[in-house]
Amino acid sequence: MSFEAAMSHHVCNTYTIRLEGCLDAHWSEWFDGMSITCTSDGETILSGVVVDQAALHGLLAKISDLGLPLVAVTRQNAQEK
Amino acid sequence: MLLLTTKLHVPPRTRQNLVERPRLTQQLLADRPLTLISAPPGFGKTTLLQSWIPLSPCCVTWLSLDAGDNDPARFWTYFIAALQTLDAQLGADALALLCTPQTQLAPLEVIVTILLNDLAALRKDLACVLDDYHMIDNHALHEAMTYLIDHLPEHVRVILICRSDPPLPLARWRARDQLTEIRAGDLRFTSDEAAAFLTEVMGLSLSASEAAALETRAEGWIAGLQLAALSMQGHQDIAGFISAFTGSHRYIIDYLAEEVIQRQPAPVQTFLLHTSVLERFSGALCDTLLERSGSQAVLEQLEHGNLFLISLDGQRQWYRFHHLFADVLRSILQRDQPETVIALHRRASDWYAHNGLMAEAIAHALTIKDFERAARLIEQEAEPCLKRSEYATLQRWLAVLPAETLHAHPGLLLCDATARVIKHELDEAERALREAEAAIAVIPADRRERLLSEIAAIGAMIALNRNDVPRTIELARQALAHLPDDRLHLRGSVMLHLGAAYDWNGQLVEAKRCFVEATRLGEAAGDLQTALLAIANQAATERTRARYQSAAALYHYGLRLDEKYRPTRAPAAVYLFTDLADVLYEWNDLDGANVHIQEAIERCNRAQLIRALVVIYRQLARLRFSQGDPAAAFEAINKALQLAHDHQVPSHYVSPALAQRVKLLLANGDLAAASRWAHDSDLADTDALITTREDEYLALARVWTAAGQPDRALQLLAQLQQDAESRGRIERSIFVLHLQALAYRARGDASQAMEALERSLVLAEPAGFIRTFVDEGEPMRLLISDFRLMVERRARAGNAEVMHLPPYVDKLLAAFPTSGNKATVKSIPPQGYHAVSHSAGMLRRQPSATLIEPLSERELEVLWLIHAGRSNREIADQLVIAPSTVKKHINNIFGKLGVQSRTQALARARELGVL
Repeated sequence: MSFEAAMSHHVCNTYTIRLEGCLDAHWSEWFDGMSITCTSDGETILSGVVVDQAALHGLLAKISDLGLPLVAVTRQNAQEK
Repeated sequence: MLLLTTKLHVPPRTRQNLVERPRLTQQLLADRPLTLISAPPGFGKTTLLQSWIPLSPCCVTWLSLDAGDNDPARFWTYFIAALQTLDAQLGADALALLCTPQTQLAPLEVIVTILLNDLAALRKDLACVLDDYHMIDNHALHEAMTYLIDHLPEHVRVILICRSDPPLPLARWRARDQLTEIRAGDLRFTSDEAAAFLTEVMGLSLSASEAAALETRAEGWIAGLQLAALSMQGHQDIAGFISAFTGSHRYIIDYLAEEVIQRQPAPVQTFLLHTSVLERFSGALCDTLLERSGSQAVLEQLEHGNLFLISLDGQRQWYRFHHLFADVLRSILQRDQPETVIALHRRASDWYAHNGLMAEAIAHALTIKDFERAARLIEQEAEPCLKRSEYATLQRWLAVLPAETLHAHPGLLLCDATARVIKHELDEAERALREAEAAIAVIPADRRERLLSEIAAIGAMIALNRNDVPRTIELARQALAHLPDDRLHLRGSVMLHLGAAYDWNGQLVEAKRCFVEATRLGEAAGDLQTALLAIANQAATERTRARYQSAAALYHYGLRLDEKYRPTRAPAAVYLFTDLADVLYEWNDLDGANVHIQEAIERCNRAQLIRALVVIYRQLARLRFSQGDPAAAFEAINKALQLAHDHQVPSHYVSPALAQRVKLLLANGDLAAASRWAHDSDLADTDALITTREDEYLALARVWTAAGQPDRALQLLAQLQQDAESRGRIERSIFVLHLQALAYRARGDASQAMEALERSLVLAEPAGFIRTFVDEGEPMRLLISDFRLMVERRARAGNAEVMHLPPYVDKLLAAFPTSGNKATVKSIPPQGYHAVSHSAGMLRRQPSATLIEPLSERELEVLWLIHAGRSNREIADQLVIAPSTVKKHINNIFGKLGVQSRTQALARARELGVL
């Protein structure tokens, strides 16, 4: 993707972050309002809109601070939705 | 500055630290420059270091970092404060440089270099621990840390504790075996350690399989195990708890924290949730926050119950929660009582402001986006912040405030402008000033006048930095007319700028008045830097008018002031030493000049003042030549030019050095090289004089006179003389007139030569100038001898006008080297300044010819360091060679000098004129 194309997409990207372990719903506010779902095999799916890369890295830092192993980070951009 | 000393304490050991972990403490003993302990929270990073410290053979300093430490000034202030818990002198020079707002911001590398010099001289093994290094995201600080770690002396190491790997060149250090790493995998409890922890430390009676089940569920994560143990302490059915817990997929902290929190009585639950908004807290702060009393007892009870409370000072005053526990509490509080969160932060902000901890007060206000409160707090804190050079902190706060808040508080825009002037961001400073002006238009008139005067003050500083003299004068006068009398600091600074502008404009009387006043204001405000700069400037105007005696008196006054303020060191003091050395040199007091030059070099090297070093090495060059050592003279002048070239020093510092080199070339008989310089000079063909490069014009006139073009020289000198006279610059007139005399003499015009010389001597006599004349050598001696005869003839003829001159003229003639002395000055081949090595930081003379085998460069360096009282180890450190190599050099020196001891070597070296 060219730099311009990347910039045009930088707003309103939806991210899905998969973690190992089940996180309680009260963390939603802590993770800037991302939705929290627990899967049956003991993973947490955080998903929601992330304003920019800095915000994404902030989220990842918070996850790291809780000591939760990160499984995957994926982005759905506007066209795919 | 108000230092939070809790940041410097090694967190005290509590009983949960009691599991001995020899496999890890052993790793920590490895002697590599950097140790990195990198793992998420709850892995016992800090705890591990706590248990290592008593086993460690070295001294340990501790610094817990937080987000505010991304301001380089604040970071290094704390870093040095941590070192000073060990030795109050460590880093004193770097600190002085950090706390001097008026100097241009020193690059971080300079601060670090000064610190490294101090550390190298330390006679102890030292480990500097930086806890929570992941809080640092300022790239400049990472670069400075890299530089520090790359240049650490052998006996000093750095230990970084962080939650994620820092952006430092870890791979490079790893490859060179300079890095010890302890990571999450290493820190996890092994099953033995887990069992020991659960049973011995937490006092649980568990079967081996129960302990193993917990260990597996927590995967050796210490925080998880600790929380599990806490949950179990009150449980009747341990087996049931363990099976429910190990069977759950819930996030371990959620599962356990809920258990632990819910088992607390309601008031304790509230206490935990509400205090979680604080980064650190004391009993008094908690009382205010919760609007209750007796918090101290609750804190001690929580600490005793092991509720993830960490004492920060070991004196039961300041605490914080374990990060993980605090995160859980905060997220629950945010979910259940969002309005309370705002009220809590507001109360915390109030408490901190009330107790003078402004940075914390501002941080709490910004967290809840209470910009009005934040703005009012920043207004109070801005000036102290500027005084401490914490520009980054100030600008970080201001960057968060919305435009309308800034416009409602124009004082904040002015702080921004001031910080930018100091950082030499003049356009941005100007923009902030214009914004402030616009904002002021809508505020009440009584506040407006004060702000307008501050705008004018900052405008004057910008104007002077842009060399706009008329505007500087206009704005500075405006500012001084309206600034309140109690603004001593700002008034002093504006007065200094006004003086400099007058001086530049040739209004010497006004300039002097301003400098006198700025000295007074600087002293009254306790602002040593302004006071000393004003004194140095005042003395400079005295010198401009050839009043050397009063200049010398001022320098001595300034040096006494500098002495009085010890150990605070203002960089401006260096200029007192160099300028006094100038005066003493002119008076032919070469030893006195030497003493002051050496002191200036010492201070400059410590504070890395490059511009001053350019001045000093020029002075040193002149001095060494006069002492009969042209080799040392050329080495010094080349060093000055090399420094100027490497650091892009402004032309008014470089010009005198270029001119000095030409003077040395001519005195050394190398007309060809001097002519080449004149030929290449861009000044030779310009008509308008460039004031900042006056010395080069004098050098051109010298070269032309020497090269048989006295007419060309005279034309230029006439122009210079007119300029000097029209601006009342007597010192400059003396410099020009004596060259005119020499040029006339070269042209064979004896009477014009006598006239110019006489004018020059009449001006020079009250100031006692000697070297200006003596340094011109034989032609000048002959000229003055002729003049002496002429004066006598005139006196016999009854003309009394010049009767007072003969004693001065005799003194001058006596100061010329006799022909015997002259012969000792040997010519040396010229060399370009780029050819010079700048490895050697010290002064030396060529070894005398009486040595059968001369000392090598390195041996001379070693000899000088012995002379300076350094030990072998210190010499090795300074020259970056092995101690065994130092011994080898010393043996060689003893051999060549034919001596057996250091004392004998020094005595013999002095005899031989090597030292």
